[in-house]
Amino acid sequence: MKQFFKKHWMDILVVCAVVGLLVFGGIEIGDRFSFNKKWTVFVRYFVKNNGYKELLIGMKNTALIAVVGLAIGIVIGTLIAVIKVIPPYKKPTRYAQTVCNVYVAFFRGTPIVVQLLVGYYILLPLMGIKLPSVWSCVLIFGLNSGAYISEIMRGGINSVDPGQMEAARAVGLPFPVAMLKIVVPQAIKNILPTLGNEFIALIKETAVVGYVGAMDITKYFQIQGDNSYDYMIPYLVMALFYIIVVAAIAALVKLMERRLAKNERH
Amino acid sequence: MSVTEKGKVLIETKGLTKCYGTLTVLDHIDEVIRNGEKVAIIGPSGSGKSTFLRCLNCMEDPTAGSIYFEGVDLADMHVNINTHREHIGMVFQQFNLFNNKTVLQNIMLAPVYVGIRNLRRLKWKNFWLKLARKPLLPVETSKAGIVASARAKAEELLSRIGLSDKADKYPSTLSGGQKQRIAIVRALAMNPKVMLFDEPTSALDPEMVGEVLDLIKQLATTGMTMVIVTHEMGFAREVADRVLFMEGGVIAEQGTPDEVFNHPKSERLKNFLSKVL
Ligand SMILES: Nc1ncnc2c1ncn2[C@@H]1O[C@H](COP(=O)(O)OP(=O)(O)OP(=O)(O)O)[C@@H](O)[C@H]1O
Ligand SMILES: [Mg+2]
Repeated sequence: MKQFFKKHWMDILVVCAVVGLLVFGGIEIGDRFSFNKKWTVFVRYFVKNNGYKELLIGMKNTALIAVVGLAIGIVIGTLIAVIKVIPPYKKPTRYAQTVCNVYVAFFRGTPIVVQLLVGYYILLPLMGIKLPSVWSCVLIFGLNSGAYISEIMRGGINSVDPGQMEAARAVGLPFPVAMLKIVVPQAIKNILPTLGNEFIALIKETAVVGYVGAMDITKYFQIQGDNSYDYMIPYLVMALFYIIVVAAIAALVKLMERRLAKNERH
Repeated sequence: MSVTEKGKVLIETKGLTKCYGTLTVLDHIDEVIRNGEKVAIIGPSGSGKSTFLRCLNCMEDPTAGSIYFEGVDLADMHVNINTHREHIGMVFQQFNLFNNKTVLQNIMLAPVYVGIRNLRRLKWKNFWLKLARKPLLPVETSKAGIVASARAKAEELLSRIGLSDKADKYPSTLSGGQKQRIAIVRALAMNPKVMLFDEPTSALDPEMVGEVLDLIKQLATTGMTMVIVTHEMGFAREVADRVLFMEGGVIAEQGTPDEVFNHPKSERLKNFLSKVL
């Protein structure tokens, strides 16, 4: 623990500074804008009108979209990465690789908001799929992060010694089995820290799901602002909320990174 | 191995050619490897020794020509290469143990995979036989049985090389010599008909070369067919029945160790030997 503080005092300092700035800066400005009254209003809406229950729903949805989206992204990303590293001797392989390239180009080349709008209001209804907006977001965020993770995963696969694949093929394992049992586990170990960062990015990106009517943390505070005719406190609290969550996950990622580094040494 | 099988053609290459772009690395090689033979391949760096060896189990796809393994052309794209590779053990210069598996898992992985795959095929066949109301094939094993026998075999092999205590260790904790002996045993766990070695001791510290060569020699006495690319001339002389000298993508000269090392005919071989002996 002591070591942890020694190593991360910079990060902790930055987080404290930002939090302090938000709180005290908020209060200082707030006094000029009758902070106390607004705070009372916020608390009343939050506690007395059961606002916290909706915040819990918002948190649940944000977590759901980020976590399940990441899981879908890892599956899709791994699949695309594996397809992309197959030696392109056969025609079907090349077709599949072209499809993957188009997929990645599409999802990396358009804003996530556009993907949500097009997916939720046009493509899903066109395909006759009726999903609650949260699950539409899960799906679209999963497809989106799949494109990004495929690139990360490809780097991970390329970082694994080619001798591992050779040895696996030499004992008679088919390519997909060798990939799944030998190469991909080692690739995932190599890219775990990067995946952690991808997860953080994903959490922050979910803030736009309100565009398609999904209730997440951002949307909750927006609604609270709408209802109470005051946006200052809700938005400040919202920013605080995100930074705490993100800092906590970033710390976890760091911890994991150090664990892995330790394992390397033996 | 039965006596009648001994001397039967196991691997035969016909016009085996491998090009990388415009560079011809193997140039129409016709060669036969018979059951029980121990063949050493020597030659200068870049002469195509590794490429030849790696073509024998199609780790490299030949540009032209055929490789017959027990009469089946492995270069034919319609042949399921995986089912044939099970019978061809391969040992690499860099060991290539699976880093994410323990020693025991390294050895058991392929036998368990193949066993379960065969079981699945058998059950699938029985499913169709059942539909056709024909007598079923006997199913003698189960998944658990396959795993148990693979484990027993792996443990026996480990104890044979004196590394039973390393069964649950990961490869990164082992010395080079230990890794290579485990890599050899991993290949043996599949009961291969032939073992291919590509400079098995070149990446080892000198003090570990002996233990690996001893294991290979011991293996030679069991009658295993072996093809060994090596820079250890003393070892080649001792173990091999036949020595192939490769140069410029062809087998320039071959014969018994006595013929090759003591009575070389071509200038190129004499030249090579004068450098390495
Ligand atoms: N994947 C590849 N792409 C292009 N050229 C290659 C490839 N693999 C091998 N070569 C070339 O083929 C030639 C023969 O290589 P090979 O590895 O078979 O030689 P070798 O006899 O095993 O040499 P060494 O004793 O150094 O291992 C070399 O000139 C090498 O540069
Ligand atoms: Mg070589």
